[in-house]
Amino acid sequence: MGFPYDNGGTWTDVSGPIFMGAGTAMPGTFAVIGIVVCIVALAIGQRAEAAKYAKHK
Amino acid sequence: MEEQLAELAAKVAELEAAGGGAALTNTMFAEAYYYLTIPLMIIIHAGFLAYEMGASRAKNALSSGVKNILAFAFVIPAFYFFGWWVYWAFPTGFSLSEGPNGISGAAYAGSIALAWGESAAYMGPNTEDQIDGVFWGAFTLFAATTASIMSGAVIERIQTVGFVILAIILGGFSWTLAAAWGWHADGWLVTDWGVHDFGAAGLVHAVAAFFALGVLINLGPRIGKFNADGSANDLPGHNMPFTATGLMLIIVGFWGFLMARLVVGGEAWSWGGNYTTIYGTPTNLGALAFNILMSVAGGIIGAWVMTRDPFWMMSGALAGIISCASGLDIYYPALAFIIAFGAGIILKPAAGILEGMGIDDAVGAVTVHGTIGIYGMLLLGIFASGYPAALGEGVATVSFVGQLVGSVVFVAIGFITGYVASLILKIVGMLRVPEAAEIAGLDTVKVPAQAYPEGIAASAPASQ
Repeated sequence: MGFPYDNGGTWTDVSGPIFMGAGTAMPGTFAVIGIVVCIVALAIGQRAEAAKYAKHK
Repeated sequence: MEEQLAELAAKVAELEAAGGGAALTNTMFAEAYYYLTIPLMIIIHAGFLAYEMGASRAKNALSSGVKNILAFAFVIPAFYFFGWWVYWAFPTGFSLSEGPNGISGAAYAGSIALAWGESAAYMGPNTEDQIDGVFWGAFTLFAATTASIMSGAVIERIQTVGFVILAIILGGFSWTLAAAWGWHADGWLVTDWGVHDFGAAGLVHAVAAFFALGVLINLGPRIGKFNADGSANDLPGHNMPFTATGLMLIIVGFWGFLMARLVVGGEAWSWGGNYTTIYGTPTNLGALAFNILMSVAGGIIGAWVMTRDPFWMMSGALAGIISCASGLDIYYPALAFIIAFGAGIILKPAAGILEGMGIDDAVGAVTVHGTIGIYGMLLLGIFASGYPAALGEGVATVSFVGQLVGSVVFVAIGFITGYVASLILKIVGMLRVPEAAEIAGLDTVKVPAQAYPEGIAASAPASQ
């Protein structure tokens, strides 16, 4: 990753995407990880919630 | 002569530079315009948070709040990962084909609204793109609002994660599909039926409300809401001032919500040089100022005449805006006032009818957003009949039949997706909390904090 422009490390004449990983497969990788984080967070939340309810059946 | 030519060339260069500066200023204004709608719309969520915590009994106050906070948090990434794509992919229907304006369909959506591949360039910081981020932000807040509309109806007995899953489906797919069909310039409801729903009475409010109704049928009423003979009991929330203040905050936030429906002029993506609606038809902020204020007033007064109850008066304010939302761009303010007054009048009786059917909508969300949303959609079909629904020649015009078709479609999208999703959650045991937990109070069961650790004792006045 790092600076996405191969221009000697300057902002001069930079135009277009400036985020880390621009133009590579990294945005997609981050997106997949982000989706997985959401799903895992819900799964953990559901497990904890179910455990609480189990004490109040 | 050469000197004069040089002077002329310098003058032309100066004018060109000034023109470029003006263009840049306009671009920055457009960007700032939509950016500022985002915090304004977050005020809606502050309002829903206060409103629903206040409308809950003290034993459930924090768990209701947790639900709101999580809906907000999960709808945002859901809209980033797939909701934005749905809006651009589906306008022409399930065929995912390109529409007449060439800004829809799977191929187009895949080129601008996915967080991976080439389109990732439009889904993150980009010096050449000053608009997609703020557009996405505004639409994300619309999505989060639909989840909050559903949220109030189901308080005090729904499971947290089950609710979050429903919020993701509603915010990421259901309302987005409705918006693609009834809001997008290529939307088939707009191009074929002349549907006009500028302020989203149908495609946000009714979709969310009927989604909630589908959920409520599977969820069932709170324990103690209905007696054996079917009569209903009042289960008052623990903090009416908090609820009324929350409703007022929602109304404040609605100024951002409605402001974001305008398309700023003068940009490559604009419909021309001035403000337009999302359909490309002419309007301006003045239209909103006139009609929002008059509809708020009409709704409050109508509800006051009917109920004298501050809860319904503030709900009447919201209902007033929703009743006129479809045509806030074209109503005459006095007509907006009358329509909103009518909404305030029918609000509580309509809620009573729903309650009489055994539906426990804890905050009247189905009535305020659903019944009134459809009321507004249909009235626009009467009063705005013949108005061109979009920009250009030979476009479909607004009609009662078109608004009726749009209403049926919005209700169906909301109800079917809400009913089916909640039925699945019910089958897998993720919809309703156990009876003992509901009786004990959800804060005690699952929230590691206390709403009122010192109770809510009234303090004595200081001595003189």
